[in-house]
Amino acid sequence: MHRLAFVASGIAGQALDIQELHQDDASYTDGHYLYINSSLTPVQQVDAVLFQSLLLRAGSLEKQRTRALLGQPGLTRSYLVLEIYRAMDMYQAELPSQLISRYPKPDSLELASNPAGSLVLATKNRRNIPKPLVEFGRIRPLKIRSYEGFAKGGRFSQAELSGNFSIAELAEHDEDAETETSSILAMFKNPLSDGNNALSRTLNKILGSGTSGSGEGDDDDEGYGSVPMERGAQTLLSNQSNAQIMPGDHAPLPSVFEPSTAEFQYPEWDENRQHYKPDFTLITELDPWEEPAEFKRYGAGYARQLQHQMSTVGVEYQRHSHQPAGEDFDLDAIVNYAITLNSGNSPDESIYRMSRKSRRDLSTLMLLDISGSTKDFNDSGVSIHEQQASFVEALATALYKLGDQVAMYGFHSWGSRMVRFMRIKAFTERGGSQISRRIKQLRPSGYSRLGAAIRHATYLISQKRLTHHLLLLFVTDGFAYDDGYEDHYAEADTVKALEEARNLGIACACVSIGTDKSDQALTRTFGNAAYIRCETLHELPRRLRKHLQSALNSAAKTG
Amino acid sequence: MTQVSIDLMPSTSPVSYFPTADEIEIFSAAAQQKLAVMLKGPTGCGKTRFIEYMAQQLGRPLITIPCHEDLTAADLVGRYLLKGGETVWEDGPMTRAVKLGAICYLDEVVEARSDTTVVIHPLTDHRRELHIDRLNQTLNVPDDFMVVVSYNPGYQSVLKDLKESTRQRMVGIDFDYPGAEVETNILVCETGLNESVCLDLVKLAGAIRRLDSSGLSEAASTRTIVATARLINGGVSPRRAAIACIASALSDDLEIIAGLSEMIDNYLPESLR
Repeated sequence: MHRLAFVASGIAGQALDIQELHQDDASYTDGHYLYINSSLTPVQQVDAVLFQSLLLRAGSLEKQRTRALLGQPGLTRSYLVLEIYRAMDMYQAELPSQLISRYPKPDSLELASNPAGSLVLATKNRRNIPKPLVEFGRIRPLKIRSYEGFAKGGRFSQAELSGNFSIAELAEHDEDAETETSSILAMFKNPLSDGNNALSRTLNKILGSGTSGSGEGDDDDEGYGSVPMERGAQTLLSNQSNAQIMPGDHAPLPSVFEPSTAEFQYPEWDENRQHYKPDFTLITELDPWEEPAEFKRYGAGYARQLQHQMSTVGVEYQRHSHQPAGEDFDLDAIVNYAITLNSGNSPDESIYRMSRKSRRDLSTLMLLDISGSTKDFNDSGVSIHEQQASFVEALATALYKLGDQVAMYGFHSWGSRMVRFMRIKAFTERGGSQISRRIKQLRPSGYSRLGAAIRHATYLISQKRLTHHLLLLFVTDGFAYDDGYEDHYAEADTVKALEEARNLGIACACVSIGTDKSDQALTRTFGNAAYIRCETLHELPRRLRKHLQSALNSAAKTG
Repeated sequence: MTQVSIDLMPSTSPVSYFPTADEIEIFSAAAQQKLAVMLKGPTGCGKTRFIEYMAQQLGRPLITIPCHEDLTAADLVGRYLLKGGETVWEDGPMTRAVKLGAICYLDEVVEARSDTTVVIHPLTDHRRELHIDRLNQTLNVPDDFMVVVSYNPGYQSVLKDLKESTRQRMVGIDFDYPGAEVETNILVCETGLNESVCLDLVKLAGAIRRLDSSGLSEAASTRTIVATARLINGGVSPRRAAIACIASALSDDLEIIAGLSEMIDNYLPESLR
């Protein structure tokens, strides 16, 4: 964690981390990270962190606003200045006093009451708005856009799926350009023409124009017509996304995404080259976003049995007083015994202390495979996803009732750069109806990049270390498969990820429900003792305890 | 043997309390209607101060019982003690509260053993009686007697949640940290520190409360910033006082303490000394 991360999060009201820019570039944020110019003085760096966080807090970087700034650095700078002063004014009751006194608002500066108003003022009064101070940093609309491509959805390009953001980079060049003209359009501009010839007009219609066509003699107005640059960029992005081909079954991508809560990068083990590919996988944690669908819950009536079986898993010794027999005398009980006897009553003879395995000491993270294949129905016509999700919910409820720490995530992927973790319940959340609702919202789609999922689950479970026993339970219908992730390669990466987890003392087990065939690869990677396959949910409770206890014992030895 | 702290409210020194919503009206009505009250809210947000204030306003004695995992029903009701070779009965705090017609305040009630509910239930429903089985006596509860419990819903595990049957006997009042203006007033009133430093402390606490997924199990409470203000009154620099009372108190993790210290540097720079 960067030393200023709390400063940023405390202002923004959301988790933020900080990276230092080593080149001499202005500070900016993409919504999850603040990139701070390391050549600034320490005081300037803090101020830059405060200003960029403040922009997030004040809603200045919302997509509707930043979209209008695309390709217009002059407008962006003016908007930045107006928004910084507006946000300082709006949140002055929360900002450090010294910051407010160090950056007084210029007297002549007119402020709006919201970001939309600032955008209007920035367009109208640009000449009267001072240039941003170095501490203000800058706004990079495309950085926010490309980030929100993951968080807010829309269709993903093949390039984005493989981790290349060529469109963003191309347009970023425009954004960074010192001139106010799109360099793409400049390629089609005849320096001897005013842009009004037939060819120019046609090209402008196709590609969109570079700047706002206010036509009022504004210094940004290049006379390229009235189509703003944002449309041009949208056209390019849209064309690119039309060309996308999803690997495999064209799994449908949801149309609306909830904002991402966090992004994580993990290495992947390359068996062929015998080394890790650093930061190869990108995981995004999301809340389920869709309306609850019809969801048939299976295995009703076995929850009590499940709870009974699990009550002996992951328990540790606890000292009990007032016991009828035990290893030690209970002094309090003996005194009470003597008092009761002296007062002429018959005393309670439970005067011992005893250690019994009764203290719950287990944290379980359940990882539910929600890849497209779980949409299938088994030979009995039962949905694999619904069975598996029912099991996860029932087990979580049982463990929660027992007092354990429980977390649940659904996961699926589309290539290494888009592994999604759908948060059903985090360790820190309390149980409740929202858990059931979130489970109903899960839609199986995509693929499963198991190694990345295990690494992120390992991070989540080891980060808290709430108890002595840690269990990672993976619920799937079959072995991992993803774009560039199959067979021997996938198996080796999964084994490696499991090894990393076990080295941290985390027990790993795998459950398959409703599948017709045993999966050899899962048996090999998890081992006979930690892999259970059941055709129906009712078989599970009686088999689960033994397998999970065995996985925990094995992890205790390794850890 | 379990020690139970009993605090009879001194009636002379006035207790100050700044209301944040309609908690005073709700509590007064509950007291009038002989209903039990459950105060919910994070640590250090003013639950205990509120009950002290209300006890004084209603002119009733207050008996506070800090609950813990060894607290049993016998600790509440009373027990025989050995005194000079004789066995002597001594009332527990609950029995004393019943006899006095006091407000019996069970602080962090979910920490107590579950058998304490055996005592609480008949006191908080229509029966309004206290049965002392060792004496084979049943005390009728006077009108002024009132049970008030407090707990922090985000803190305890599910095993330590209040039983539904207990919850449903209570009137719930939710507490949270007060707004910036009220919290600044509290600080000024409690410590006499100058208002601008109090405002900076409140801003700092607000920023810490806004930290998301920070690894902190508790946020900076009103209690912690009052303690900070007191330390400043004691001659310690604001920055140093905040590190001692907030950063160091909230975490043992060096990285988190360093992050909190940076926040403190921003809101309470050394120049304020």
